[in-house]
Amino acid sequence: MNTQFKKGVLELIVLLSVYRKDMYGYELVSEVSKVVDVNEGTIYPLLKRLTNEHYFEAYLAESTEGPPRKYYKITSLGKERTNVLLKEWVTFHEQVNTFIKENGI
Amino acid sequence: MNKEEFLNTLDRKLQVINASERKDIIDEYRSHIEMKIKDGKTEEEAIEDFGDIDELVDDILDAYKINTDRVHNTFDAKLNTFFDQLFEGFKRFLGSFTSIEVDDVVKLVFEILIILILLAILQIPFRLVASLGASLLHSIIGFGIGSFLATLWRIIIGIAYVAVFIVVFVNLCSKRIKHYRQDKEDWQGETVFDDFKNSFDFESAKQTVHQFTSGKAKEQNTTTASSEEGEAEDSDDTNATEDTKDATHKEENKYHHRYSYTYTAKHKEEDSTTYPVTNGFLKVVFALMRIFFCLLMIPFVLMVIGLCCALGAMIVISFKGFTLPGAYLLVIGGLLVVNAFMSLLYKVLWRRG
Repeated sequence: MNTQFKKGVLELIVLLSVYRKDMYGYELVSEVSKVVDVNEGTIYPLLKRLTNEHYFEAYLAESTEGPPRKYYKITSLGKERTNVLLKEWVTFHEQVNTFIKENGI
Repeated sequence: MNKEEFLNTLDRKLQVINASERKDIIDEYRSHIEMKIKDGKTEEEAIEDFGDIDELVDDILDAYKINTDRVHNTFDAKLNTFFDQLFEGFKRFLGSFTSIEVDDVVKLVFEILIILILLAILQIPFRLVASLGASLLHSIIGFGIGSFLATLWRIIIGIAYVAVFIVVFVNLCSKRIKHYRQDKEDWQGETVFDDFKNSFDFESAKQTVHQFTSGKAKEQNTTTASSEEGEAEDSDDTNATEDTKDATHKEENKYHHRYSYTYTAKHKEEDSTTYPVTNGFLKVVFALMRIFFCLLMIPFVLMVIGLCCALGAMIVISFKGFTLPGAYLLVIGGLLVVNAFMSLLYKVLWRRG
């Protein structure tokens, strides 16, 4: 799949995943990998950026196995951002589809 | 590549990011790899899934750049353009009234700072001599006249320092400006320290002592001295640039230049080799400067006398079984310093044999 497509949509997918429930890094990577085939390493920088921009909050929680895990939780700012991106995606998606249909493909 | 190798490489390649952030990232990758291993993959496989490490590093840096860029756009960029404009304006401002390049001006300012620092250091022996002499006068002569003499001594030393400061500063500055104004071919590669050393050149100082004795005779007919000077300078100008090795000639050059510089600056003349010595005004200035320097000599003579007295007093004290080796060093050092300054003044005053 086109890497440019992936990059654009990756933020929305990560936001939506964390919106539903708090997640730790590895869990999120497996979740995202179900939808887009993405390099595992690139999710972490994105998480970092979203945290720096105050869309996410990070906290540590004990796990039954191994060391404590770093969980990500969405903020109200992050929720707003998710809604904006979602609307943008929907309109964009519709416009592209209409364009394709108009051209008879 | 195993886990530690991978994490170390990553850490090394992410040096631009600050330490705590970097640790955060590395920890995330470490736990990711560990979880993969728990899920049944080998260490190598887990790392291979990250793909090319350089691409990964680029991705990470990219994620940070978004933040840093924002900061740059708002404040740093504005600050940079502001300073650029300020410097350009400064350049144009300087260019409007001087022929010296702006880089040279910056250098010159720096060198003047060095001169000032060196002169500030020179103040230390003066202060020591002043306080030493004052305390000696105080303790030997006693209160009343002693304290009066001590105050006088301090004032004399203070004036002497100011005089030395002015002479050295003006001489060195004019020499530096001359260096910059002349063509680069004439540049002798002398630094500000060389100039400073030249000012205390004892060899040339000896020569000037001889000049001093012969110059004394000349000084007696002061009425003709100033006019003679003007004519003599005319002839000097022709060979002034040729003979630079001679130390005394060098001094002459320097002295010449100080006045010609002010003149050329006034008339906006670039050529510094054409000295306007026929100007009557300059002759008067020369004569006045001579008298001024003669007056400046007085405190130095007094200083030498004072130091000799101090030395004598200390010898007397040591006969009574009270020796101060440190004080001896100070007095002898002071004498040497005063001698150096006096010879410098001679050079400026009686520069003609």
